[in-house]
Amino acid sequence: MARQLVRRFIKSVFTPVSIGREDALTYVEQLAAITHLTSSAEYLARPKNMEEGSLGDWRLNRERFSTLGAWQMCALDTCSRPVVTKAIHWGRIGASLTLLAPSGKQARAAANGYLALTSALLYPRHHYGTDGSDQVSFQSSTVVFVARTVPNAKVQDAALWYLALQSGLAYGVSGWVKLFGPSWRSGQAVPGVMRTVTYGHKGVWEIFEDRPRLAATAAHAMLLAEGLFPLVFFSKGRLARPFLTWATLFHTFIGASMGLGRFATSFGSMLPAVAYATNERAKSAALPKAAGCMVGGAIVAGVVSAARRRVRIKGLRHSSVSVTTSSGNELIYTWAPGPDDDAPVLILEHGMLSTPEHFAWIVEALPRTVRTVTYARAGYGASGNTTGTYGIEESADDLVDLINDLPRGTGPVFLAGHSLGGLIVRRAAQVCNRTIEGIIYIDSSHPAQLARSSRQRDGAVQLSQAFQGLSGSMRLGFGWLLERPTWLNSLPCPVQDIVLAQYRDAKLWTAGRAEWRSTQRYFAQARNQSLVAMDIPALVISAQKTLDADEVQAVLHAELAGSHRQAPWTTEVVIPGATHDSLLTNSEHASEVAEAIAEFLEKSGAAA
Amino acid sequence: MNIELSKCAPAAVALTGGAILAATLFSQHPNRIFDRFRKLDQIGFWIPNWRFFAPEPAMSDFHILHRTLSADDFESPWEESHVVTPRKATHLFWFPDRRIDKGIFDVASELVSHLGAQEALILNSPAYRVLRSFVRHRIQSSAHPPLAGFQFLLARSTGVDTSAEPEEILTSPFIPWEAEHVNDHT
Repeated sequence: MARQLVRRFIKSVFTPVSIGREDALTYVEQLAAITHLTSSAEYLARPKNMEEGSLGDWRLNRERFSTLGAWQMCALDTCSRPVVTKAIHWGRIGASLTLLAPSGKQARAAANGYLALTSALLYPRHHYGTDGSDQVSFQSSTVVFVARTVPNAKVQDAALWYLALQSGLAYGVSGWVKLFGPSWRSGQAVPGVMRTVTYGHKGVWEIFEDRPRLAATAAHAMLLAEGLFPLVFFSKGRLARPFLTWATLFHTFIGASMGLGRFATSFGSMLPAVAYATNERAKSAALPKAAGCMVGGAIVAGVVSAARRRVRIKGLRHSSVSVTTSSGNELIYTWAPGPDDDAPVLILEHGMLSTPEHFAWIVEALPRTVRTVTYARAGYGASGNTTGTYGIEESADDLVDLINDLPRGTGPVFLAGHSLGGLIVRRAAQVCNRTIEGIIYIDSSHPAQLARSSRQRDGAVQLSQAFQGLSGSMRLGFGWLLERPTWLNSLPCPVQDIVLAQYRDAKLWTAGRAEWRSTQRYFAQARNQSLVAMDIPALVISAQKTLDADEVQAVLHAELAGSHRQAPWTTEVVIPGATHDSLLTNSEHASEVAEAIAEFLEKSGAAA
Repeated sequence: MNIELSKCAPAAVALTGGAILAATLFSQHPNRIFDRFRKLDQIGFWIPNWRFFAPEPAMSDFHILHRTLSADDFESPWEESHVVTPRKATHLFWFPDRRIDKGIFDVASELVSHLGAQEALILNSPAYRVLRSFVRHRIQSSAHPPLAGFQFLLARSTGVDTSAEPEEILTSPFIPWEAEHVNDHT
């Protein structure tokens, strides 16, 4: 008897939810309507939050959306007038009540359309303070609006499938992305969130605070349930009841403990769509097929674009010179034209995660009496790294080979390095068998910077974390998803495309990560060593913001200059208003750098 | 016409829905540097962001404090411009103050994300200007003597866990009262 009961219970748990199309749509719209109703009533209960001097002050917030078209801004401006916003919210309450009461299908379609449209129109207006429940209730109302406006079974199936798959993504993504967070993996996230007044609950925090194993179990159980939620689509509906029950309980608990009540009804509004999409009723599967094709197509397009970028970067070889170094690496370098063969040669060494084209403003601003050489270090751009090592010593040895590859009879050689490049040129000058006439440090790194600067140590931790998963994702072909960095627009137009191609190329990130690991080891070894004195003149250029942000940097840069005090003309220059990167990417700052370099070369060149 | 619609509409809905789903999937990378599609969504609404509390959750409260300087040079002590609402059981159903608490959290998070930038960029950012105006109106709403100006402070704490000291994140420069009235609207 007991066994039969258990069997029947298990069977009932793993039986698909038998819900019809119309019922699913009704549940979706009604749960979304409860969310909209609560949201608008809450806004109307605090009308001051829409007025001047509030976080919802539209006159200040509208700047954020100033890139929108004129008609869009006109619509937002109109809806964002406090009196209009309040009227819209009253309308939303009316529309929500229409959906909660028995009403005709046309009225329901109109009510859903109104809720979806006004959600979109008010979202910018209430920018600070919006949350995930607004996004989800918008999705639900839009889906039912489409389904009710075009009462065609295939359209309605597509609409419900869309919402169900968004629900699967919502839980799946939330679970999998948390795995990248150390606090979720360790379990500290649960007491960490619960201790806050904004999102937490003192009582729940007290339960977890002194029970780290319980906290870790709770965190991991949540990750497991969220991460495995998408399995509901691969179980012929058998896992629908367990997962939907978990989701309902989960949101109720979150709603009560974290003050996220609207999340319970908004996320709940997607669950009837999951129940419908996964049950055994006959339905159109056009949308999941279309979505699958598009995801597959996007992956293929990503792979193709990565290959095209590589070809483009390799194409740099055609306009450049190559040298195979003694280590076997192949360096690709570019000569800028000079007036005479014996004109001074300035070799520019880029920093980590950077490109030779970053020196474009400086090269352009330097006098034509200087021949510049820019090149990509082994592993970057078109240069090949066959050794697999990315240390400062190896890079310096490669640079020495490049110097020796320059035609005989070329003029005096100067080396300039930005950031990490500063350490590489310093090392190269020490081991080079050819005379180096001068070294230019452009906001250079210092071997002891991690040992002596807490700010640099914090930055190093952040950089190491940033690399986690990044170079792996790049190797998997995610480069096309990298957004265009804002600093790129500061570089000269002709180099922007090739820099962007390198930025989205996996090689740059792979080389950068390997270089960062080697550099950290180098810093650890060099932490207690004082700088070796050099008799080569040096120019130490610092960005003012670098010095302002960290007083240790001023000492480190002074030490770099001090190590060249035996040589004449060693000079220190601070570029006002410049940051570490803007020394290269900002045309005005780069011009000032070029001017300082030209002056330094002139002095040193005269001596040579 | 209806026949045409019945043929085209399902395909149109499937293709549009499929495209939005694909864009949504490709906008969920743990590292936000991969948010290329999301950047195209200027309102930040069309492509859902499902990375709730991930990869790292919010484990701190933000606090906005201000102090004033009266016209006769009296400096007031720091006081909180807004106090986050403590949790109640009724918040499951009704929580109108959630919007402003979340708003403070959003504006503070945005300012924190600007911290490495140049000072001028921070001071001209929408988040800073909204917060400056918010604090100014909070001061204005309470009785006070004629003011020369005010200053505000953004801090972070570990909430009910008092084992750690609150951390100061950003302190505004002194803001002259009359000039601020003009700046509010520029």
